[in-house]
Amino acid sequence: MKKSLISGFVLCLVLLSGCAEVQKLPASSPSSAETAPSMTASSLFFAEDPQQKLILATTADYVLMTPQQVSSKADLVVLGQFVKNLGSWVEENGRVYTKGLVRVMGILKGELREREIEVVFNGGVVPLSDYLRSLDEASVKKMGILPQDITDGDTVFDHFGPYQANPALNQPYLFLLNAMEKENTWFLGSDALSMLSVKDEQYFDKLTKSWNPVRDLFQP
Amino acid sequence: MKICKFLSVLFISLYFFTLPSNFVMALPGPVLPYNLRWNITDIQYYLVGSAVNYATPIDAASKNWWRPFGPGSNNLHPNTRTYDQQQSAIDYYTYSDIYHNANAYTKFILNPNKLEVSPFLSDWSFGRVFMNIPYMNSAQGPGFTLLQSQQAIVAHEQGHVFGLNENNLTPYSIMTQSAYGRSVYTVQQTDNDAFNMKHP
Repeated sequence: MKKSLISGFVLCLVLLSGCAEVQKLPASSPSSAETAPSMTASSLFFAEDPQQKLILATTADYVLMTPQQVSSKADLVVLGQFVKNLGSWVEENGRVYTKGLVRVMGILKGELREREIEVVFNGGVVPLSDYLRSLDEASVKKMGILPQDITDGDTVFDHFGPYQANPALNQPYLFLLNAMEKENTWFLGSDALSMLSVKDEQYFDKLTKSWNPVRDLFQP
Repeated sequence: MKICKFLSVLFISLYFFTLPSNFVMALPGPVLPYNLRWNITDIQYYLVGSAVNYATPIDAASKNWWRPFGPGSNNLHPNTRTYDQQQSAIDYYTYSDIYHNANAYTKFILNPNKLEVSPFLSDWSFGRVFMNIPYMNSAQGPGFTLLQSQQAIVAHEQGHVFGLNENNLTPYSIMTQSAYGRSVYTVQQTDNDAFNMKHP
């Protein structure tokens, strides 16, 4: 009887440990997990700034997230690199955008005549005063920000949490872009998920944290 | 005696074999590391500008989070509309961006502005939900009506303000992102359990 109880106990331990393993699995488990690409902080568009008064993080309900989803809906997929930060600005209700100049090194999907394109994306750093001007009076009052709290040089970093695009200058990326109305201007529709690090014909999938062949992007 | 032994091992094994699967099903969804500071028993929302066009799905989503009675009830109250923006824990805005692949997003605001306001770095006082008009107007969840699909988007963002994180391990959570195939438009047990974990 003792033996059978012990064996039952051992069996249940095995089952429970198996259950714990299942819970640890990520949404889509990486087949070949490797370290994420490293970037030099000084070359990033948005680095830490002691005068940053506010950091407003965002969580978004994306309709397209996986590289395959994003690439299938992209108007243009190019290999390129940001060569210049063209600046950030704020639109109504505190929505911040940033524009950069991208030098195109290769086209994988779509058509393009120019070798340099302008790419716009969500988030960025703007003066706090500009940010507050974009809000209505009641919204500013609710934030509890008083004019005497603001000093010259105070900034706001509006960012999309873990999916904020924060490109490093002169680093190669695969850009999955949506065409904007303005000619030669494109948008990172799924934020950082539309901008994939690349090396040796492979791209880095931020969701699974794995390197995968670029050709897989275009498989149905 | 042998039969007795066999049955005891079988029953114990069966008990523990079925327990884990139920246990997994009942797990609360993921939560954000920090908290909403607003008193959860005094939650109201405010509609800014054209957000009034979505008053119906916002009302439905708000009522859906509210569980005052029975097992698994929560402390959320009253989660209704206010006409005074200073009294609201959630402010709804709209924006129109066909280029952005998102139905909506939530910003976390701390009042007064003494600290960084990221739900991964600090608490927040209230939330701003931005609904993307072109996506809201063409929202189409699996087998849902337009209103149900809009309700799902709003309920998802409300969950963030309450302190819940994305729950992409299952499609059967309101906190599953659309891209991961969210298959429900109402708050599920896993979501309510996560809510209760945040606001016991």
